[in-house]
Amino acid sequence: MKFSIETYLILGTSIVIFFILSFIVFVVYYQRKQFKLEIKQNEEKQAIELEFQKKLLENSMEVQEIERRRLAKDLHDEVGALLSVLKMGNNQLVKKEMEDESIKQLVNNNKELIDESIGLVRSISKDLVPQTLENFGLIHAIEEFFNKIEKNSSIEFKFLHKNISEKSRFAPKVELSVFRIIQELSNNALKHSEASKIDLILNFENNIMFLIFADNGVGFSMEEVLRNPSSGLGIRNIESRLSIINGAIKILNPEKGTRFEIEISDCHEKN
Amino acid sequence: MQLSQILDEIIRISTKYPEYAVGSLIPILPLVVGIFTKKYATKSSKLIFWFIVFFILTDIPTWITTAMDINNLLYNDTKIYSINIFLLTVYFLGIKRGSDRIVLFSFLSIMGIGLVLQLFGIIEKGKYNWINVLLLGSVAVWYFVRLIDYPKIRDLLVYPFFWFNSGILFYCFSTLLIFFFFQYSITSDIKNQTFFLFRSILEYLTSVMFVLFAIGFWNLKKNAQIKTK
Repeated sequence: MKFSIETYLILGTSIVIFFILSFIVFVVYYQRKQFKLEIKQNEEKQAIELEFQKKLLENSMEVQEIERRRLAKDLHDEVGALLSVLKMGNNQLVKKEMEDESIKQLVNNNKELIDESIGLVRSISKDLVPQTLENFGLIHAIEEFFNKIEKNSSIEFKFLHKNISEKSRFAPKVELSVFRIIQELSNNALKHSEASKIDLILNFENNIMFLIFADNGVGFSMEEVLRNPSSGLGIRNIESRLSIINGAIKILNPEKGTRFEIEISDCHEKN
Repeated sequence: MQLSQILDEIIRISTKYPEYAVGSLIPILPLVVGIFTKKYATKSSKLIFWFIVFFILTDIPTWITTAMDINNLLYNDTKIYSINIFLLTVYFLGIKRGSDRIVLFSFLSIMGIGLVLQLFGIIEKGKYNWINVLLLGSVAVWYFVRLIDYPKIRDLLVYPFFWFNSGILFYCFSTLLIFFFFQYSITSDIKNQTFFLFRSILEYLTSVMFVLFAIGFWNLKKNAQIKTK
């Protein structure tokens, strides 16, 4: 059986076309595979970078806490002790009969100043390391903190906690972060909000901690804060702390004031 | 010969050999799609668009000379040479890498020299067209190999140059055997019928290239939308 040149040509061209189409299909398949691989690699790279950033942040926060602790200890043990010695010496002078009334007045003034300094050192060292938080937990520490600032300001603080008892304890990292965040938000409200009332609700459900912090002040624009490099450090600090403990913050601007909604997932209560 | 007579003759040829009519009319499809998607045109799509314009314009003299029964074999072979040179120029202008451009330039030089030699009758008409499509086809294959190594394109099927390159690749390798056998159709005693069969298949395969070009133009908008996302 002899084929004509036309038959050979058509057959040959058909085979070539088949190979071309196969090659094109292969290119599409392989390129898609490569693209998916690239995406996967990028995602893995991003996850590693994120984890690294988180660890870095965690370390930086830990160093910060260690430094605070050292500072508080130094203040309490060194400066506090010196002030106590000074107070004792001054007390000796107070007990002595003095003829000169002006010197007597000076000694009494010194006594007042020393007492004030001792109180201040105690207060600063207590602020630096929240002993109540470490010893009695989040609820006590928040209540104590609110009572303290309520005394020194005209703002009314309202604190509600649901599904968290006063004895509830969480991981130290979580407790400290939540407490520092509340401190930061309260300080911001005191400085900028012109609010007369601050509400804090703390809830714990299904291993998720919910925190709502709301004030009735003037409110603020997050965009403006972020645009200004000199401001917004507090918010960034809160975000950094939250990223370490798997938390997220939502900033809402209701009709009046500001509302912060924080959610911390994978949060376990310690027995 | 009057214009009406030429037109009548063109219609008669078109009716007798519809594949030639299809081969000449099909480039209008990517041309129209290209006009509609002009807003999203890229550098390469613009070059392909001008190639289509070139193809349509150079096809008109073929029809007229055929209708007037003027021997246009040299013109046709020169046109095929020009098509290959034009398509290779698209790659040459679109590719920035120096070493690649040297290779493309050498290919262009080979084609250019071939065209000049053919025009001066030093080599036989259409005898070495297969070398041109082989060179152009290898560039299209090389482009796909490069594309595989560049996995930044989200969806290849929406990427216009994928379709343009597929069209060129299809045209080159599917017509390779035909162009290769052309030399025998000229020199040996192969029947006239075989020669017409060769040309008919060539017309259909060229039409496929233009359909793929049309798909490429159609995807210009989608590709632009993906890029802006």
